[in-house]
Amino acid sequence: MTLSRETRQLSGRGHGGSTLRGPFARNLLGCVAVLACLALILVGPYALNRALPPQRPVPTDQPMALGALPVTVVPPPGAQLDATQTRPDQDTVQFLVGGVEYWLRASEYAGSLPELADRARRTREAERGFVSMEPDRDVSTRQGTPGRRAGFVLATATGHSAVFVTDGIAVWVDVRGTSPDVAAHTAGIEASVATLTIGPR
Amino acid sequence: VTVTAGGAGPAGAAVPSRLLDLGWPAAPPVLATEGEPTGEGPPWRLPALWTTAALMLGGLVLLAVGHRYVVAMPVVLALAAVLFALHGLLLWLGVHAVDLAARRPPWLRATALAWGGVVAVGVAGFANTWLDSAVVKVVSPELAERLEPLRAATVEESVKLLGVVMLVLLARRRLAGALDGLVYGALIGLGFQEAENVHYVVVQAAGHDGSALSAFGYFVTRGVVAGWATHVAWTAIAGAGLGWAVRHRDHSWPARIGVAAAAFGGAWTLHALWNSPLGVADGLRFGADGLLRLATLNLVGLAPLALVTWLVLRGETRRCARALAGLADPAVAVDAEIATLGSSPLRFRTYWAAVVRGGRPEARAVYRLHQAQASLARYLAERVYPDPDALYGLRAAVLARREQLGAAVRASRERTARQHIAREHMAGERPLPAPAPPHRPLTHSTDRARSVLSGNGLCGGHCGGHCGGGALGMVELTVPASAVAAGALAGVGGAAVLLAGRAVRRARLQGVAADVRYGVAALLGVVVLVLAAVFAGQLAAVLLVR
Repeated sequence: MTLSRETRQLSGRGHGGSTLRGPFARNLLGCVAVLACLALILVGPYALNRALPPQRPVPTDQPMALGALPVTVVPPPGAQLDATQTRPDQDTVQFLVGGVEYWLRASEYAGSLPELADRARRTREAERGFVSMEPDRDVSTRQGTPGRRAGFVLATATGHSAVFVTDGIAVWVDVRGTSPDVAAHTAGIEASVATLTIGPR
Repeated sequence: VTVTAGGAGPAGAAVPSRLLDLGWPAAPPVLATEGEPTGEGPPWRLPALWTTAALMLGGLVLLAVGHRYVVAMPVVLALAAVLFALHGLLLWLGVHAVDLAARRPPWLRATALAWGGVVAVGVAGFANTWLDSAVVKVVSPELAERLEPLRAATVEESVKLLGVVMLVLLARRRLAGALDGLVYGALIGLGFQEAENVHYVVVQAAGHDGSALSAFGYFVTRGVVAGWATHVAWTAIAGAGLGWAVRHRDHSWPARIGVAAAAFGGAWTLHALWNSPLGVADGLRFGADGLLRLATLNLVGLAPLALVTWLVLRGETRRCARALAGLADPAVAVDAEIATLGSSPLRFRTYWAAVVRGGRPEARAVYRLHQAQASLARYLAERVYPDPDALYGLRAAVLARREQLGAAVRASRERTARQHIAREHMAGERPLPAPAPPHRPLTHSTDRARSVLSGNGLCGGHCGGHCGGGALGMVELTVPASAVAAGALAGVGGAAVLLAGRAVRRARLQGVAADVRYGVAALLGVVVLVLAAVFAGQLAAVLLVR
């Protein structure tokens, strides 16, 4: 097997046997530099993110966009934005209202409202300890966007979910928390859901 | 000093003076037949190799942690992986075909691909998420969304370019110029792009119904419409700049850093533009109009890549041509061949002439000879002190390829001669003779090979008119077929483009989003029109030959 030039130099057979330290050290230094850059790119954002508190209050008197899709919602009173579950690139926002998680996601959707409602129900039914509290019922936003809402109880939480579909965009709302918390904040969250606006594109 | 062209190798050959100066041994060692001069493998003792291996493992862990949910969607994952693997394979083969010298070792190419698909995607995925989250915490989701183009371009282009840096550390002499940087950069970008595409498909499927249809839809938009104008193009441009800076040690540090920084800046700008609302954000979401915008931006992204590739290839081919001319070895390449090697249009014309006259076997033989010559030229251009053993191997490869070309030319000539005589026999002009003897004088075929290589037309009458007769025979067969194919394809492609355009206009007038299938139909129509143009070009070339 023919030795590479680098290996020859490292093994001292390339240029007089005294070059072991030079190329090896330079190579090692280069590796350290690359690792340092990668660490800066990866660990820097991680440390910054960890240093910041995960929640912060949001203004509750003006609409807020979920992401790039034309969907907005006015947060409920006392809401805090949960940055750990908020993904602007996926048009997803989560608020914390008291102990209640109020989660919204918008996405393109070519199907109908009943189909999406079925999917939402199947998804909930797959969760541990699911018990349906009520049949699906029709709801709508102030804008007039039609939706379907259903309450449920899970092993660890209680809550309700709702889906809205219009103009090829679907919004999925999921609210969950302990029973007392949900009961205390349902009115405010329902009022917030009613402020959902979708489109125009 | 010359060598008998078409001989079996350097054993019986006179040796060019320059090679004697370099210490050409009296009895050559066992000769390599392919372009790889020394068979160098991975440098096992270099820290860079083990660092890369560790980073690959780390990248795999990051990918696994970030995609735990995909186990619930095995069909979507498998379909996306297969579709985008095939998509990437096309470009891989394309790079292999264009890369004439083909001296890039497979392990290094695989490392480039894996860096893009594993390390870069794993690191960039988490860094993007954490940066997004930090902006959401401090300001708002809206600002995070607005900053996304700048953030993604900065993080992703940096991580990918670090892959090119790592390849320099792994094999500095293998990354010997802008062309190497361009090719390795493109491979890193390819790995990143295809892995990211699979990621988007599973994210999309998780957010929707988890069906395989979403995988196919994303393949159309990200694979067919977006093509390779994204990460492949950006990292290729940045890699070319870095490759140039690594090689040109004779230039000042500011000049080298300036070129590398300018190339990175260009890649960064194209990436940010693509991610901006002008590009992908709207294009993937908002129907046919967005797709058209995406296709336009695709061309905008490809234009700088085409320019950089042209500049790099021009510089590279000129450098190699100078090195080959300096060798002054007619057995390796005569002046006309060197001129052909240094010019892409001439090379294409030569392949085309070989296809027309001798079919694919002859064109393939010409291509392989060019490949061997280019490998030798690159080796000479890169090494100040070439290794005589390696030179022997590369020169032997050229001679072997020339011999194969001679055999291909002989075979095609005999085939066409038989067809010619058979036609005359059918016409009752003369009786069918016995098949031609398998071997003809070597010098004759070599003349023919030379004439093909230098693009000088047919064999100049050396074969007694058989080549001309064969070529005319091909014309008779090819003209009607090409004409019919060109006409039919132009009709189908034009109709598809017109109908799709009309449907998009109608949808726009009605204020609704046009079906995405119209966009796909328009693209397919354009592809068919290109094919029609190829057939028409073939027709014109055949008529010119006649």
